[in-house]
Amino acid sequence: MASGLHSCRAMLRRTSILVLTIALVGAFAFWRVRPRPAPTPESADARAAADPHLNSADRLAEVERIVAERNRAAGKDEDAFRADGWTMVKTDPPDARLTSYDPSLLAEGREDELRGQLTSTTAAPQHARRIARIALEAKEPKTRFAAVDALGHIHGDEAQAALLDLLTSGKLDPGDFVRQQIAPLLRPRDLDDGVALRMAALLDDPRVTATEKHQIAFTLALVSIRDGMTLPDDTLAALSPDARASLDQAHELVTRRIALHNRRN
Amino acid sequence: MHKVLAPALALTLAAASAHARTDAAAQPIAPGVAPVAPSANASVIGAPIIILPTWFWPYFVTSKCQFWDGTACTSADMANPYFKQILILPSGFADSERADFWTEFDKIRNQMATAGNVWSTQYRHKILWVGYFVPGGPLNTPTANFGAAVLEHPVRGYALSLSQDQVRAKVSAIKATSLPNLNPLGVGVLFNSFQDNITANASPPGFTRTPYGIAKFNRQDLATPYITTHELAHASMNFLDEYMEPGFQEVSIRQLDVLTPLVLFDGSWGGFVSAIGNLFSVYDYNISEILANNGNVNIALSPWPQTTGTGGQWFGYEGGMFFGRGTFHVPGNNLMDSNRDKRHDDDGFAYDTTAAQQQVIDTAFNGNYAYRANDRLRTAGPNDWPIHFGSTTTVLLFDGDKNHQFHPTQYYGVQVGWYERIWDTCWWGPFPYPCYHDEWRTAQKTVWPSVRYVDLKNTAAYGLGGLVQDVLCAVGVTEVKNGDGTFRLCDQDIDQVSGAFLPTLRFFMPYQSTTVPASQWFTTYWWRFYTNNGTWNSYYTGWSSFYRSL
Repeated sequence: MASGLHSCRAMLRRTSILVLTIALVGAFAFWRVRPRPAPTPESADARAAADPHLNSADRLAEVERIVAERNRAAGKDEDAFRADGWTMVKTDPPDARLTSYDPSLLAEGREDELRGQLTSTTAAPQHARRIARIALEAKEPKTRFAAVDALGHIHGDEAQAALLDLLTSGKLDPGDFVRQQIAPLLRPRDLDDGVALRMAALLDDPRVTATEKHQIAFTLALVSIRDGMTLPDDTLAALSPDARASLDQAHELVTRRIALHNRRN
Repeated sequence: MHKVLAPALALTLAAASAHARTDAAAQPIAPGVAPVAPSANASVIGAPIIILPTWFWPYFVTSKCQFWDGTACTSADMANPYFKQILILPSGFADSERADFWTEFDKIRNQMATAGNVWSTQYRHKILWVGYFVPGGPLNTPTANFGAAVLEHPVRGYALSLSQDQVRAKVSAIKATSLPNLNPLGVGVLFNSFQDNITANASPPGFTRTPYGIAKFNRQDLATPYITTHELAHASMNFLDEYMEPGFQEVSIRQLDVLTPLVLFDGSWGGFVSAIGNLFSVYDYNISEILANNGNVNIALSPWPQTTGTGGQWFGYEGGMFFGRGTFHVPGNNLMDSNRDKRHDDDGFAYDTTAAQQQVIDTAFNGNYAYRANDRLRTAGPNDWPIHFGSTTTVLLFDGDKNHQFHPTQYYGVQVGWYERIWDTCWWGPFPYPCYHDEWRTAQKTVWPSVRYVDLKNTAAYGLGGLVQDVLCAVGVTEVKNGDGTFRLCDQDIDQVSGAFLPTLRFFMPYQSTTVPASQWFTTYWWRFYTNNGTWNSYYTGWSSFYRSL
């Protein structure tokens, strides 16, 4: 029995050693093959410059050579501008919070600046949500108008989604002058895209006013005639008779001919 | 008897005056007054040897230049930039109806000088009324001046039609042969017709980028001052209508922007156009801006059209230029508005002028001095610039005053900035290593405006041709170039014209492009711009960015 016990212990020891060895080998193998970040030029050069085999003077010279080389490359932009007739001037860099349409600027008394940024630039799609917040939170109607108008200038789904959400959020009163600018800015790419389908659904949505429905129907009619297509059959089938009638009326309005410019007064 | 005597007297006078006339300018002598010999500086008809009764004069006078009260103006007055000229031309008047034309000319002059507080009454002391009689065949005949006709239209009722090119050619010819100092602010063509309920209309010069617009009206329209003052305001001041069309009270001009993808940049833009497959995905340009924020000033696309700086006028009332929504005008009953579909008590018609209109009128009559900066600005893209678009980047500037009739933008100041990585030697203990910090760099350049067009192929918008036609006719785009000729857009029912023959509609753009030699990959560049209109610099726009990627 003692010899059997001794054999078990030995087997256990050998197994442990074997497991441990396998684990160590595996860990080593993982360490060797793991994805490593490519050495950055600076870190590689820094390592070279820190190469203990270089003496300090050589090391410094190497670093300075690298610095000079990179500064030469960096100056190419400026050279290109000068060659194209531009003049280098001194200005302050842009305020990152302003150029990213940060709504928190409203609370800091910088609403005028934010409005200027909204009216005089075209925002990128990633700014749509922030601008929608400004439309809700700004104090002055002209800032809120500028925000909604800015969304109308952003091409793409993000801005359209922000406009649709503003329209149906319930946070803007139907009589709000700024809210009344939203529906005309809804602009589907075509009648198959998600924006068009959401617009069609709004024709039966009680959250939307009669005037907004009229405007939505008119836009859908314009796109329909522009592209020679109609809303998908299942979308049309889901509309109420009133909604389909408003689409037909809008189509007629787009295509009807009118007498112009009769005496006014 | 008048028909016998008039030619005889005309011959006599012509012989007498031929010696006295010093240059090509033929000036009338005030009727019933003994003519005086011309001064050295004034080109007037020389002294006739006979004093003629008043009723003779209209039978052979070819041209007149008069102040608002009927007193004669001279060639020197016409050359004086202090004065502005309104030219009235006839169509459909035979030679025997010359006197009728001059009677109506006097009526136009009188009524426009005494119509409340409109532009032609305010500045009547600065307006020279120039009439030039051209005999021609009846309207609706091949010999009518300028191809003028009263057309029956299946929808519009009746409309006045003519060839604007022929009018301009005649004006140039008159200037070359008779009135060398002719320089009209606006031209009115009087149709010899008493038919009522005809659509009078005018072409504002902003859409055609010509020095003057052309108004059309008939003799029936002279019953009140409304038509002449209103239509010549379109033609001279580049005003747009401030009322809306029936049925479109709740439609916004911004909805028309779904048609913008149909707009094609033509070759005037340069090579970058072909490099980018879908310009509309890269830049922000809009039909609504091309129509209603393009040099016109009494209609805006925002109640606060000024985008840079502070202050500015409030265009608080919505509606105008065909649409009931999305366009805005300044409060106040005025000449360009209507009492139909009033949303406010002071949003109707009067022989009066709003603050926005007043600013333009003052500019027009005071040496084009601008009362504000050209501050309807916006950076319009791109947001990014992949390599396949080309090695230099093209940015787009929106400028609502680029084509302003009286103070167009003279130049742009464009700034581009980026963060430059500046390398230096840093130390980690005894070991040096390269390190960097970012420094802001800005480059600046002056960019001069250049004429840019876009084409809207009506074939592409054929199904919408009716609406497009209606909108354009409403704003005064009545003719479009079609090959070597012109197509009278508002004369024909578009349904009757096959798509293959529809012309391309060309629009002058309120946008300017400029190239930026920003070529570093993976770099964000920032840019902004301001304008100079000859009097004022605007403030800068905000900074916009674009990212150069691989």
